[in-house]
Amino acid sequence: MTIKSIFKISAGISFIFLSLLMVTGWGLGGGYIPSDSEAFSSILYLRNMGGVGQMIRSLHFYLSSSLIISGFIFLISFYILGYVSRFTKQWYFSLIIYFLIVGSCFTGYLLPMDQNAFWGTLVRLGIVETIPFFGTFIANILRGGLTIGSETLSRFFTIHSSIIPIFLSVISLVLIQSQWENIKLIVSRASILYGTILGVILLYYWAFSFSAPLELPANPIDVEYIPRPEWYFLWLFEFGKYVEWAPWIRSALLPLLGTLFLFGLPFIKQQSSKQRYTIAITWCSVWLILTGITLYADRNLPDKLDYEAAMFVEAKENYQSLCYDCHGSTGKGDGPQSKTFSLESPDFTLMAYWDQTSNDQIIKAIKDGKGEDMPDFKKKLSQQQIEELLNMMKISYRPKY
Amino acid sequence: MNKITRRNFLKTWQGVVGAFATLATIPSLYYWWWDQPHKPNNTENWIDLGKAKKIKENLWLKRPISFDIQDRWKTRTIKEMLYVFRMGKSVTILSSICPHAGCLIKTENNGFICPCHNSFFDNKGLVVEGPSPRPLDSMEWTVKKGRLYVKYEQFRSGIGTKELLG
Repeated sequence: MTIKSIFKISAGISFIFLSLLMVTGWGLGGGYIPSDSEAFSSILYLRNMGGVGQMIRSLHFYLSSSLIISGFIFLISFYILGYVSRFTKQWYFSLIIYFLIVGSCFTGYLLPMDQNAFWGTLVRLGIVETIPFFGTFIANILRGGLTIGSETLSRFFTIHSSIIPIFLSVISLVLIQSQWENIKLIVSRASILYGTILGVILLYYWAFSFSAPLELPANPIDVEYIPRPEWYFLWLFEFGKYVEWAPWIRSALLPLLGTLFLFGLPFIKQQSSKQRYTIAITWCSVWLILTGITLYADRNLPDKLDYEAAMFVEAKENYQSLCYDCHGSTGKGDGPQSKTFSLESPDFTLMAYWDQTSNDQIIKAIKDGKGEDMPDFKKKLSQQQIEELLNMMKISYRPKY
Repeated sequence: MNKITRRNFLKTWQGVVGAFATLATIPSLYYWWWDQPHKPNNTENWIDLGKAKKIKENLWLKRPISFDIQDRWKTRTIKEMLYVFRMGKSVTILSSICPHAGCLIKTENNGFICPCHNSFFDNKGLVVEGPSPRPLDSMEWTVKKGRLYVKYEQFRSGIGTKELLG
């Protein structure tokens, strides 16, 4: 496969990804509520409903990562082919589109309002805040205040779903119009068309099989949570741990230099195609190696738990601290305290118990207590936690047959 | 009178629409700047932390606090975490917000660690290692009628001096 065909395929596929992102975004907009108290619940509802809502969310999530990658490949091959100085206008438009896509990722990140979203955005806004002179100003405008709240969500939502898409559409249309003759040639090439279709089908399959992650709802006082960025930013993040640089170097100088370099590329003396190839490959492999090293260095960090898994862990902890004393660690009702009771504790490992007791009865017993020995837990556990506890008991103790 | 052709009709409209769009954009953008409460994320009131003598001595304790602030038309409850250390009659209260990028610190080995960028602090909150530009922020406190009260304040992260947020 030549660089030229990679260039063409990545252009086509990026464009299709972008269109699909907008369309799946419309779908998500039908159920999402950008508010402090309801954002997470609306996404969780969508996820628990399964079916098409869940599929659209997964698709939207994986499309955005794929677009970042395919857009990156497009820009790299744009450079290697030496088109940068020949098609300066198109290069600039592509760069602007790419920056808008990155901005869209930045704002879309917060919208589910789970732990990952909250802490990721908090750290990023913290970095924005260290930009000299304008930092606090920009961060306050984005946040709509001094902390992340409902206004932050609605502002991010507006940028993500209205401002950026409009600019993207206009710029894409200008780009397509100026390149129509070339695009006609690309579209008429059967192999490229089939390659693109295959890519999209693979992505649909992926989105069907793996659902987009969702963690526990944002908790601003959870000191145990370890925020980590996406894998492609990980090296920069790890670098910050070992190198003590002034904060403005990371937040202002490096991005500024990077942007100037990209926009100044057309004016830099052109190397031969072989040199360009070497430069691009070197940069990419340095980044890959750094990412590999940091992934290896971070291998011992606990995995980020998905909502269900995290709830399960929490339910187990609750069981250990509240139920273990009487019901025992295996659910047989043989905990250390149970010997002093007049009535026997129920055995959760018997099918008879589950046949005779309904979910509502168990929930009521946990909430209000039962008999002389079972205390009430309605002050210690929320409804959600009680339901999760019941779920955990079913999965861990109820016999399978 | 000029004949209205498609071209000059569109040109005129381009100008008119452009002018109106600009006129609408400026107040729209200005509104985002204007509608941000300049009130700091702290409260005038002293927050009750319970009986001073009940607080275990010689140990860093986590104390979650919550207070209401007036945010635009609504009252919003803010939750924060504090670290409290009591030694006889002297108390140290530290904010759990890392002065570097705003992550939350946790206790480790008789000190504190910020898991985001590995800033280490000793048990007085001073920086031992890592990128944090200043020690952990300590809070004002007072004891009245045997109860410990704290005045919660939040400071700008990323800078070397304690500058009140807001």
